[in-house]
Amino acid sequence: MTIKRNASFFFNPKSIAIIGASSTPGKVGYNVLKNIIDSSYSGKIFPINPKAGEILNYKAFKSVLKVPDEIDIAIFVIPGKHVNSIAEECGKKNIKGLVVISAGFKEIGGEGILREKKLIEIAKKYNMRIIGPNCLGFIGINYNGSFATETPKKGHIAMISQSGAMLTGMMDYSMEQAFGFSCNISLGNKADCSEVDFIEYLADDEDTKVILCYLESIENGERFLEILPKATRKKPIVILKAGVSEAGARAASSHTGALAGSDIAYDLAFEKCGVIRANSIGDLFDFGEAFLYQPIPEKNSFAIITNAGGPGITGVDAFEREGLKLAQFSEPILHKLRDNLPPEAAIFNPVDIIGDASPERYRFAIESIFGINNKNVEGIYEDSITTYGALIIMSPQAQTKPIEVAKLIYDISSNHLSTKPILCAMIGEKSIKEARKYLKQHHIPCFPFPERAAHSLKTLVRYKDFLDSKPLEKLEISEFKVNKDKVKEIFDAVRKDERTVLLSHETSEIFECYGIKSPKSRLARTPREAMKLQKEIGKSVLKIVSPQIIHKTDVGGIVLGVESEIDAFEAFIQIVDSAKKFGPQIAKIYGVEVQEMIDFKKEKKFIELIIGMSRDPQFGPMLMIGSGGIYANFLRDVSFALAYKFTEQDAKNTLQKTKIYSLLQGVRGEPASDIDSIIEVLLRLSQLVNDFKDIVELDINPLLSFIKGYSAVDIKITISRG
Amino acid sequence: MMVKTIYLCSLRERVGKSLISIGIMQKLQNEGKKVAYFKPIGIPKGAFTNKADRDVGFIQNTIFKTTLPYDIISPVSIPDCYYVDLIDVKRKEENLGTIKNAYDEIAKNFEYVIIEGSPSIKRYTRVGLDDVTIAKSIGINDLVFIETQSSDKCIDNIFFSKNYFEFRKIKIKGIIFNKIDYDYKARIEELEENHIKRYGIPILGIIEKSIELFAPRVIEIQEGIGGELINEIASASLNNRVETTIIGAMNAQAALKYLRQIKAAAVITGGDRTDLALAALNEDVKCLILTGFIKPDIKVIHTANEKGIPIILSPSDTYTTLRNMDRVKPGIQEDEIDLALKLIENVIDWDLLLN
Repeated sequence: MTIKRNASFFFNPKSIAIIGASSTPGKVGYNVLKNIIDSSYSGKIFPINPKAGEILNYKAFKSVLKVPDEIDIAIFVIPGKHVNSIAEECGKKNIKGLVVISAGFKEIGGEGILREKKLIEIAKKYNMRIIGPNCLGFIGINYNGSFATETPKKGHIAMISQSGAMLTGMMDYSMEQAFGFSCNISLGNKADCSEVDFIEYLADDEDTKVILCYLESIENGERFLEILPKATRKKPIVILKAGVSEAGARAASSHTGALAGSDIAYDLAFEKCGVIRANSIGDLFDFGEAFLYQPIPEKNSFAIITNAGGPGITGVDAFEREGLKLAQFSEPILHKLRDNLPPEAAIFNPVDIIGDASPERYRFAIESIFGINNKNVEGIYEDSITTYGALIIMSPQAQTKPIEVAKLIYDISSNHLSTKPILCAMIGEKSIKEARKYLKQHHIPCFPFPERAAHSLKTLVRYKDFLDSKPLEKLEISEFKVNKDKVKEIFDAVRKDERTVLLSHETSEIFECYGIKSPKSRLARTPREAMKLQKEIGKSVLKIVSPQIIHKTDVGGIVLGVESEIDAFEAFIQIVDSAKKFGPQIAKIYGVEVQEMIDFKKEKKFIELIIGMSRDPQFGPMLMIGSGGIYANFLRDVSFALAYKFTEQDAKNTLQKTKIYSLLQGVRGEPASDIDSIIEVLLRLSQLVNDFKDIVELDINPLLSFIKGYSAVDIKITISRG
Repeated sequence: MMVKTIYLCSLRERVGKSLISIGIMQKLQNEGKKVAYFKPIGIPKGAFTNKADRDVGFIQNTIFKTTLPYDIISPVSIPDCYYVDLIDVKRKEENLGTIKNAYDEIAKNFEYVIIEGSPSIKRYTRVGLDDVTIAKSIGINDLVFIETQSSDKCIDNIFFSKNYFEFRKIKIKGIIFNKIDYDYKARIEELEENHIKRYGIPILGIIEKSIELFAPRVIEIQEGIGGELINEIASASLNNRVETTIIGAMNAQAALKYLRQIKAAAVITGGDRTDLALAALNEDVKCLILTGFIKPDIKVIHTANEKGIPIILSPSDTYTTLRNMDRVKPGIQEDEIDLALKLIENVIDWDLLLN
């Protein structure tokens, strides 16, 4: 088996062939070649054109096979229908990578799909990697292999985009900003190379400080979960994930699926990997700039310094929403502020240095709270300094000197605050435009209003929390002793019966194999069998067993509280008779389930929970827990977690995010429920769904939680068709 | 050569006598036996225009390819509805003679003859050509009784017939339960000892209901609803069988609950329901029927092409489309007669039936 090359050669190719290079301005083949030349590419350039001759002063060749030198990458700008035959030649020429700008592949459907499949086959055959097809091209730090109008400024942001148009738009936007790019990669159809391939490389790329992505889909979730957690520990990755995944939307038919929606898996996967999710293009660049130019704070404890009350309050509100904490200043600092600021000033956080604040007053306030220049004097020691970053707000007033304030902020930040982030909100436009521009140019993120600044600051804190957490590879994952063989046997039998939904007695047996307690349940095929089973089980619930009957109660398919054999006999007849009358005609009836009846009303306390799993097409099993029972879908009090590397701490966190958790802890003098046992159910369930990819969906609703123990009363498991 | 004859009869119509005949014949042919099919009274396709019985024609074309003339395989033809006036009761003996002569002609050349009786044992009693009378006239003393009720009513049917046969002085060779619901199989086993065997009636086999065999093919549905196939690329799948139908009027989320559980379905929905069509194409769906003649989104066509699922545009609304589908009544097809043997081979007690 050939191991795929890594995609690193796209970044620093020694030679490039342009398939379809043209000497006619306006043609893509011309623009690409010109961009490569204009970006001062120092490697060898080989224009390929059937007419050969010379193009833009470079000798052209009729075919890559005619080029005497080695070629690292080939950029395709010819019509889609000709790509595969030339790709075959590239393979023979030992070219490592193809950047296929040409369209006419998967995106047009029909023959385009087949064409793309063939292209992938050719690439596999010759161990070549592909970017695209249907993309803008590749812009590395050393060359511009795209048909973008301009080569963007060089800098330290790596930009990966699934949309070529978004990429050109963002590059154009950046021309007026203070940042530049280490690379701009247009992914196109992602026939081969995906964002994960490039992130893997860029994580160790010295020119890149932050990775920003615009993505519409992630195809290989498993690889994403493997690579991204390692990459995010090396540098921040911000992803704007647009669009609702159709595969995700199609995947869910259970309660869990319905409650999850199609997008939550991305949230969970990003959180697990430490990826920062941007919800807008504005976020993407705000976060990018914050990461690029500001340090990661050591603690969530910040100051707000403002020259006006209203903006200060807005800032505090934004902090509250984002979960940012206001630092509590130490006594010596408070004394210093009180002694030196006007009596009308507010010295507690937020610090309001009032409307007539001069640049000097800003300097005094900032230096005081950070203990600059007065450390170890005036009673201010290292432990008196409780502020790890600040939001500085300025509202233009008669005495305000915006540009001078901007300069002093930069001065203090660059000389004294290398580990503490400073973000600014300069409110207004006309009179503070210059100051804002100055700050941005000097790498202090500056926003027109406090909310965006707080949003960015919170992103830095979240990244810090992620860095402080234990790496995924070091996590301890519980492993229980289970009976996998028996579960496999059950799944095989279900498939043999051409079913995907398991019957109750089968789910009950599976749970037994994984040590999850559920009421004893057996299948009766005749009234007499029902009598025997009732005698064995005791007080029972009898339920119709038919995969096609979804709402059992609607067809009279349930009889509760069956206490004698004769009652079981009659209940069986009643249930089957009723199900045949009122159930769907196609319903295949397997018999009647005799299930142990849990007399939960005898329990001093019981709480109905819902626990479930929905398998996301990209990121695998997602676990859910929350308020259960018939109102589960209406209350929507649920919390989710990926089952990937699911720890006891994850289980606790997931449960704690629900409202029902406070009831489980006990309110109004009630004793607490057996929370440990619920945590264990989640862990055992995680093991089950990770062991068996066959399980597509799983619902337990309700799981009754008692003061001691629990019972998984109603379980539904759906498996794939195999 | 001593011929062995199996005479299949039933109290009710449409119990699957033809299918069982085909299965038995296949079994015997596979064992190298010479086996013939005989249907004393056929029902003509047209009352006066075409005397060929549909079942006889099918069997002649498939399992019993013979040079024997049609009139020997099925010597008497009686139309299905207004037949009492057409048969002269006085000519009963003549008709029985015709049947006997034809049977004798067949019997002398074969080791086994499978006789498919009339739609029910009651049929043609008035004109003296009912199954029992025919059986006696050709010298057969026992009949194989086929029962299809998946409820305790089957016991009543059996006892009613038993009493009738005793009155007519003829024996029941045994019972074949056919088209039995999955859940009722265990019940028959439970009833067997006390309610069937102790009265000297052997059970020859219990055959489960086969949805597969009686499911229409996509092409039959397309013809039945007058639809247009819009993705020729999937035409190879037109022979697939459709076992169930789902109307996709709900949201995709709710529909999934049903789609996940179905097998070999035709999904009927509007051409503008891209969400539902895409959800359906991910499941075990054999064709998409889009009503109102609305062409679907290109994504739907791509996915259907990739999976080889035919998309049929129906010219009618959902209600009319469904009604037209109801009229599609498929039978066993010529290229799938092997299914008949597959269905019965392991559930029939062949020793009891054949000896």
